[in-house]
Amino acid sequence: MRRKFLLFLIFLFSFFVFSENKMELNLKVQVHKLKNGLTVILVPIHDTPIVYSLIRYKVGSVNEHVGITGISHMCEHMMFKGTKEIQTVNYKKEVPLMKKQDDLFKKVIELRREKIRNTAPPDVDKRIKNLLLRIKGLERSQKIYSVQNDIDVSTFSVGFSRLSADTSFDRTHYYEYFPSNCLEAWAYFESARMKDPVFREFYSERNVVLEEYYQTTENDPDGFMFGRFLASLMIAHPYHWDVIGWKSDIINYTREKVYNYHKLYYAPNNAIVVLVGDIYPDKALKVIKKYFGGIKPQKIEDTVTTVEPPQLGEKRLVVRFNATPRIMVGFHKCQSNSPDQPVFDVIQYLISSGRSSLLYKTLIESGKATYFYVSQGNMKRYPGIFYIYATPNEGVKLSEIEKIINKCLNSIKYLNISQRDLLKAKKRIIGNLYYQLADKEKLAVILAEDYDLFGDVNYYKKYIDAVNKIRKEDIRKVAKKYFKKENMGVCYLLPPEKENK
Amino acid sequence: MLRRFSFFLILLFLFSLNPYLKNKNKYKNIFTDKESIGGQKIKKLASKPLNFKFPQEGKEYLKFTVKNKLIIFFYPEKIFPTVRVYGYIKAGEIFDTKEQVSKLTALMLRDSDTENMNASKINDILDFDGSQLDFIPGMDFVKIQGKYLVENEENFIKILSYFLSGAKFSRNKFKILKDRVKSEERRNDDIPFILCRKLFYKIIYGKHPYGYFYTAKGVDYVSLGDIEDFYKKFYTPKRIVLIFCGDVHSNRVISYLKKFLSNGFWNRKEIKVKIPEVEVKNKPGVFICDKPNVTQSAIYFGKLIKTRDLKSLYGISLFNHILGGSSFASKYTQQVRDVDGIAYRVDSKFYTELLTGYLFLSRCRTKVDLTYRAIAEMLWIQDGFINKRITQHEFLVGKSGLSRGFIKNFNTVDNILNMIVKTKLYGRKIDYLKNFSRGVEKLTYDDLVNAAKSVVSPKDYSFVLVGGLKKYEKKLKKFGKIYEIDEMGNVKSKK
Repeated sequence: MRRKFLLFLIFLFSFFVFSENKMELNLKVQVHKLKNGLTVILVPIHDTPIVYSLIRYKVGSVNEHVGITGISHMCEHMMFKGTKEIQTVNYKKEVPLMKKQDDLFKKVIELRREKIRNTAPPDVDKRIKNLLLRIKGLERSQKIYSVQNDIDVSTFSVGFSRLSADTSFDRTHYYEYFPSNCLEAWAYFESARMKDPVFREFYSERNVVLEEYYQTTENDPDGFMFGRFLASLMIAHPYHWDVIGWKSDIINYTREKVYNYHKLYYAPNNAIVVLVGDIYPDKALKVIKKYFGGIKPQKIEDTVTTVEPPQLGEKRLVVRFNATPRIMVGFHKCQSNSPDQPVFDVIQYLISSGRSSLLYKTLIESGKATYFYVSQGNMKRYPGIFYIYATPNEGVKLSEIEKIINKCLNSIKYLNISQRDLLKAKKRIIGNLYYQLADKEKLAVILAEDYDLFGDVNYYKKYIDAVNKIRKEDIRKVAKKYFKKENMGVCYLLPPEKENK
Repeated sequence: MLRRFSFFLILLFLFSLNPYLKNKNKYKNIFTDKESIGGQKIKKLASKPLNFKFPQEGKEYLKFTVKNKLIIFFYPEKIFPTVRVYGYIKAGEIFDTKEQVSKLTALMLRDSDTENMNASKINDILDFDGSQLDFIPGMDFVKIQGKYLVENEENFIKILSYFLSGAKFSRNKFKILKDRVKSEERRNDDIPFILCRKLFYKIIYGKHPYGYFYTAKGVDYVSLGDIEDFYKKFYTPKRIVLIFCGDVHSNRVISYLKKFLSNGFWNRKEIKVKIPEVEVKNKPGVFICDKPNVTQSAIYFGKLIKTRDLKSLYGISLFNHILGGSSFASKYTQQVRDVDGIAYRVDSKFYTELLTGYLFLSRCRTKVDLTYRAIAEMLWIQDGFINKRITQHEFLVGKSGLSRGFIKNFNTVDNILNMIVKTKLYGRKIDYLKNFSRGVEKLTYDDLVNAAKSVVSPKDYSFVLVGGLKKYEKKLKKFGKIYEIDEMGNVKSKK
């Protein structure tokens, strides 16, 4: 009865709001800041007995430097290896075994350095192999005291699901669904791995990361192409390398380095916790304070001082890969808190969103390309790239696709876009934003990201206003400012030359 | 003699010092009874019962059968001013009248003109409203997926109705689609794992429509007339189920559908179509598609399963959950990924959402030189269920995970309703969902072992591998006879 009454009230409320033709959301978002700097965002939605949790750490590959590229991603993997209580039956006995592994690995690194300098003994590979085998043996010995994949087994056994994480250029996300009766179990487990994770199985997990590298880079034409294209466009800024990092850096991470990295960035004052779903904010906050409140903050240093120098000329790159041809055309762009950003979004929608968009018509409908997309590369905190990717239909040359793309961008720069098309792009952006807000996972990401980058969970409202204010002149101005040859890079992926002949 | 004996004693002493050697069998055995302090705490902290009532028809969600048995479900939820639309059309590959015709029809539909509006106008309206609408081909059903803002409801339903009732397929667009499909397929083949999946299905299902995939020849063989016939025959009211979730009013939606779906659609003749049954027959062997430049092999192996009774389904579901279906908590991931570090992703699947022939498979990607080892480890783990190396503790933890984790399917009202509709479409009663957790909880250790025994039989498996594997064939032969196959799944040679 109460539920029906509540629904009736919501209906009345929504009727009142929508009758003015304004899309107001009935979202109740609470933001709290704990004494240790942890930001907590709570959104109660009681449609199902499930809660979605997202923890955003403000660290990503942009915080790395040459030698430790990809370490943010490695750190993400290690966060699933337990704590001093989870995944172990005797942590104290594990410690000396891990120390022995690390000591042996120092020797491996020394030998690898000698190899790079060309001063290594002739049997260097054999020595490295033997040392790695000994490390593997010690890791296996450690398993007597550890419980394999306990983080997952224990949480899954009480009903958690989709426990996972992903690392990007500017941030690392950890997320899961849990039944609402598991709130305290969730707080215990997430706070424990923020406070004192144990990076057991370090060396075997690094091999897993290597396998991921092979899968996403070495054997995937798109991943391979993107990494090389990015490196050619961004020469100085740490967006230069893809999130997975360089292979030679991956194989040389030490446990100590990853611990130090974790200590520096995985602090409450560098994190945002979002809970969306079947929660009661007062109770949830109390539980969060109990488990996260005692974690000490860290002094977070902003390490990124490098500014990407102007390109001053068109860049062209050809990469060879045993795959069907494809093309990327990219431009340097602003960061997301620039006033140009909403204009970029409108441009992206104008040219690529929906079947009436410019590129859909000229690439797909015309039968020139199989597939295309436009992306802003998930680089948000600093100036990144805007790029167009396409795969031609058989018999169509990449140069032809490039011409179509350039023609499309020129039309944005010089031709008069119709008022309807502009309005259409705006409506699609706003529509998509509403769809995302209606999805618990995406809602959590939007709230965390908006708070991180703009300090405001209601930023999406300001964003909608900004999008609505964009005029045709703004589009032309931004297009002319960024879509120019000296700011452009073009990458062709072609099969190896021999096969091409 | 004495020297030898003292040497032996020294060896024995060293052996006793090294915990790795001392406990070789213990640590090598991934099956364990150990429980961490943290694990116990998590269990204790999550012990309160969950307050959950299964959604009821007529209360939380609504079902309407309108003219000529078109079924529409609604799950009203007024938090956001959006509506998500889903639909299932019984016009999937299994109903193919000609190879690939169902896929091409579904793909063609969204690009087509309609009797009342041309494609460019449709796209302009949908884009202008910020609405989304797609028809996605599938093995049994063509899925409809759409979204609209409440204020654009009439436009959206009008266009959806036009597509369902009056699509006009043009020759020119069909030619463009065919070229795109062919190029797209070549692009997919660049990813060894996608190619491997395709070949695995072809080998497992043979000439059954589930085994079809796009080939240039096949695509060219389908005519525009085939598409038109298929559309008229299979896109009928009785074969369509629609779902609306979000800020939706059932009466309004139904009145729009009645208004915009044409008479021609309502009066389309229902034809009885017999589903071609999958022949559950093993195709043992190691099928290798050699790609010399590919450094990471793609692995798929498994077989078709006959059983359809509920207890066996629960049993096999639990077996699959513990084996490789529970992501990082699974035995596969624990051993192949985390103990050995030789794969990024490894899992198993037990597909029951099929109109005919259930499928059990395992899959993984690893460096080509580790292919044999990865498969051997996965088979060794499977064997651990039959030979009861899986412990009582693991059985209980797995059971708890599957039954308590079932709630994950209820994370959104959209998922709840889709799950209910799919259960009905696959011929099961809603009780199957309602009793799933209870059914799993009732399983005994012996049920798990018996379920494993009914599925595990490496000698019957089809192993399909893609990668630079030529020089590893000798080792891989231990899993069965080697067949060299091309990218179309044709056998080039037997070894």
